[in-house]
Amino acid sequence: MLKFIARNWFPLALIALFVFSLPGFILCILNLFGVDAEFNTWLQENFNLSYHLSLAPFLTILFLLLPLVIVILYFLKLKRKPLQVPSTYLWKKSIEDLHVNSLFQWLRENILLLIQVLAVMILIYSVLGIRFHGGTSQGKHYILIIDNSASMAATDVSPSRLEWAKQQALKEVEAADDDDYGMILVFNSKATTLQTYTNNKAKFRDAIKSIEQTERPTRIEEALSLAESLANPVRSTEDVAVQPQDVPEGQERVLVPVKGISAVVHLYSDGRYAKLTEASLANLAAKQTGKTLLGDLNLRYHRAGQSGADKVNNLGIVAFNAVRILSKNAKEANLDIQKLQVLLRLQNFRPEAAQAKVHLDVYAGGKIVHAELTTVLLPKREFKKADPESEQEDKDVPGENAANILLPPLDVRDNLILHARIDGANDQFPLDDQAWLVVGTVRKAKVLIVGPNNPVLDAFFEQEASLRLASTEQLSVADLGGEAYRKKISGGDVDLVIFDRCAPADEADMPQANAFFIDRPPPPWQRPKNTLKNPFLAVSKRDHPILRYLTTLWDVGVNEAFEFDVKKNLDEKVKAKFELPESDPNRRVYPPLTKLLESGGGLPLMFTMPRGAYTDLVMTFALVGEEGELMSNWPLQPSFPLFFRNVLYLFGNVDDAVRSVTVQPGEPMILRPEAGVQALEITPPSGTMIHMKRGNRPDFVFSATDKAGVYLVQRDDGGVRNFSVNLLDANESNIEPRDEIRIGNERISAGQDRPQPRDLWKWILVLALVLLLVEWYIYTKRVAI
Amino acid sequence: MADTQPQLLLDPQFLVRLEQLELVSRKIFMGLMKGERRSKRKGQSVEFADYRNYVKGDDLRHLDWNLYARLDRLFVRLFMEEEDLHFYVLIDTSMSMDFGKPSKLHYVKQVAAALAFVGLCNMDRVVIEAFNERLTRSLPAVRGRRSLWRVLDFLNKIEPGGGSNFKESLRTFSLKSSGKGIVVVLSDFFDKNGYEDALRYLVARQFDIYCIQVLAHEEIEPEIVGDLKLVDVEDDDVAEITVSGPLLKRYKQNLASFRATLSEFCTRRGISCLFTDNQVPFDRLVLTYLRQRGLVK
Repeated sequence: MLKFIARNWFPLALIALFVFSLPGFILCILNLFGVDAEFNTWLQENFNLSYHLSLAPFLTILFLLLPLVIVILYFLKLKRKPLQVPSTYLWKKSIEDLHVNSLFQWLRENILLLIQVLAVMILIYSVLGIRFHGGTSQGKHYILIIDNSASMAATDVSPSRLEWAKQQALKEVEAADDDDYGMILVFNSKATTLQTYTNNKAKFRDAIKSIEQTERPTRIEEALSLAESLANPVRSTEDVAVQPQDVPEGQERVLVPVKGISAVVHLYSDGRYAKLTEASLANLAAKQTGKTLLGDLNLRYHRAGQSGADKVNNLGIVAFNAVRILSKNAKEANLDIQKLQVLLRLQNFRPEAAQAKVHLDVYAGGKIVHAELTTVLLPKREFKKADPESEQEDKDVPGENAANILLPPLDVRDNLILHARIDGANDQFPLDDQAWLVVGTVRKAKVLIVGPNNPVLDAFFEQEASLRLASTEQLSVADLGGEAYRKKISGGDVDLVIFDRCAPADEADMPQANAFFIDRPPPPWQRPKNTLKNPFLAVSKRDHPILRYLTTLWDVGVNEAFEFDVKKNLDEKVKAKFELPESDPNRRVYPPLTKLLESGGGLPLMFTMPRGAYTDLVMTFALVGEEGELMSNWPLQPSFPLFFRNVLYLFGNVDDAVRSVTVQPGEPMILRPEAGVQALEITPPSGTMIHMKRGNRPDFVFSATDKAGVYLVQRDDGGVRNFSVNLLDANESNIEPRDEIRIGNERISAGQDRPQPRDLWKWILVLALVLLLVEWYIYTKRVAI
Repeated sequence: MADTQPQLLLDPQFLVRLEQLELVSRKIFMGLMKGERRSKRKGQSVEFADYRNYVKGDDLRHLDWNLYARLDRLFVRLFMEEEDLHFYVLIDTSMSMDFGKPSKLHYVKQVAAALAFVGLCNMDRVVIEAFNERLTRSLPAVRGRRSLWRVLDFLNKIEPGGGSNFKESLRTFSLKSSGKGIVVVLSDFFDKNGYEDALRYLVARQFDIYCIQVLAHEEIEPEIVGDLKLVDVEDDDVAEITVSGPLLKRYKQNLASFRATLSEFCTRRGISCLFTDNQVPFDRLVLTYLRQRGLVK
């Protein structure tokens, strides 16, 4: 048998080639006759294979003819190069011996022909675009949700989780049929639609490749809600209520219920997001329509990262804070030279205890002025998986320890920046190995008091503690509407205007600042004549920041308070505008009142009203009378200075710099420079300066906080401040990917990698190239075969 | 193809070495003139050869009087005769010889020149014939070292051309040449009609024959690739080949077989046969290989 094969290998190989070519020819011919779709379905059902010939029919015919052409060329020997030799005597004898020209002998030996024909046939197969399907998605719509939050930078899978997720997403795109429509969402602390529904794979590839790593924390709600809203629309025209009752016969409309687009959602994430609250789940449309939580949303979770608590290697700083230690003796207290108590909280996510060397560098004016090194021992992480049957959560307690570092007295006017870093952590997630903290300088409120003499206010603002928080200026009632008043209120020079028993006559004179009206409503409302004698003060909004720390308001006595009604007390001149029809663009709407204090009868005694970017706080009773006599016993109560302190903090934008504000990457940073600053230049750690101009708001909202680090803020008055952006998120630092995610009560386990249809043409093409190389080698080296 | 650079056939240093050589004939031929070689004839040299009975008319000077005294019979002393040697060089000048680097023709010219010089130095009668389909040029018999320039001039004027016809050429040569002697045939022996008949003519004339087959290196180790149309330079005969391992192997086998056949044919007929290729330095051929074969000593 073997001898037979050895003797006749060439004809046998030719026959094998012919058999090998048959399926390709059949597929090509089916394609030419346009019956490939049915055949593809059959192939896919029976063999998990499909093919797609992207060539034009005439090119297909040309391709089919190629092997034939090669054989004919071999027969005709069209390309023979003439070469003069001294004598053909021996050559003729040789070829006669070999019978090279006899068909059989020629066929017996011509390996090059075999290889060339085989190579061409393989090329044809590669053009056929044969794909192997491990199983395909039945859904014609799919959504890829890719997590690019900070924890996706972990390197437990090479090169990073995000890169892995991108690769998987690309595979999913390649796996999709040409008719499938897909969408790409990217989420971190926000969700963004990177690519709307399309079947253009090139767009997908570009979109996926454009995804960049962020340092933001993870919030899945928005992405989930976005994807879910597409799958489960709330609107339902099935409702018979929308069907008009008296429709003439023959004109009834058939109302087709809106169907959600049933979509397969592939979530590429490590599952490390904060637990979803009921409130966020309540927004899901499916829940609103009374279906199951996710409705038509077929969520598939692809876990990025290595599963298993024992594979986690991360140490992280999860909290970083500094507190000023003020001297107890107020007079000795120096506001500029202060000791700082730095608190660092570290967590260990390794399965064994760890020792973290923490460096703390203190920078002042860009130079290190102090450095500390401390070693923190961190116990190992305790992890116990909950019983899958039970509703309990996994027990996951990272090894945690804190470092308290007391810094020597430092001049806080120098823009102190604290930089903490874990030295030699050598873990999979370097982003949380360092944190920055900017020790803020005190920002005092600028307060303008307009009104007659008020000993209560004077007493409050003259206190040592108040002087630290605010500087005051006083104008009399006569100055209202005057030049000095207008100059003060229009340039944003003040943070808070207190109108004590007076109010501007016109809305135009309202300040570009927050305002506190005592015993007067702001224009266009007028103080009503009717008053309420000795009202009982009831707190209606206890958790409002204005009422923070206030506990004993029940014994506050008030002589009289005006009875305010937002509709009745409106100035007659402008009342008409409030009563215009809804469609009128000039129509004004009543501002919503937030009642803070009310009388027993529900009358507002203290409330806030929004005015554009500012807020007006209205107190409907006076503190002192015309002669300076007390009209309420509140100034005598301990709650009164607390209340005024709250007013200063909230409406005067006081920043006492006891605790410096730090935001997470991606969160907007609200900057409240001193009043009067009109423009800011902010330099992020990446170095590109951003200019900001003051709008009509009292603060600047800076949202380009994508990178963790120290941001430099230069004010137009020459002042320089800093603020820091830190991850400081235990959820992100815990980089162990979740094996299952929970959406409400639904648990979604990380699926096995879906068998992807694999394009085989690339491999076939490689094989053809290898064959061509072999052919070239044989041709040039004349290997003896 | 052929190397067209004019090259010196012999250089003076080589000539000095050649002077010490002489042509050796395994046969003793009768010469035309008195020379330095022993002839079949008895003659005038000092070397004694034989006795024979005296007959009338013999020169009395050759009588051996001592023998007469002893035996009382007259005997004539015969002495060895020394004569010149006929040395023929046949050069194939067909187109196939114009191949290789240096060309086979140039190579055989060098060999011919060297051998002719050896012959001239020994006062042999040197004749050089050029042939392709027939005898084309001929150098009349020359003797003595002074004739070297004529030999070289003749050789330099030989140009390649025409096809091969061994049989016709050598037949003509056999009929034409009068004396016997050494014949050296310098050729590639690629005659599609065969060389056998041709050599038989020479054998019949009882020449002392030497065949030197000269091939180009490219003929021994062909370095050709691909699908080729081989054109014979002599008769434009075409052979279409696809170079392959087996074909090259077969070609080499055929070449070896061709050489073996030639060698066997020659050996059977007392012809010395030598193979060389144009890469073997011709001086080594003359000084070493031909010495070993006994053509020169």
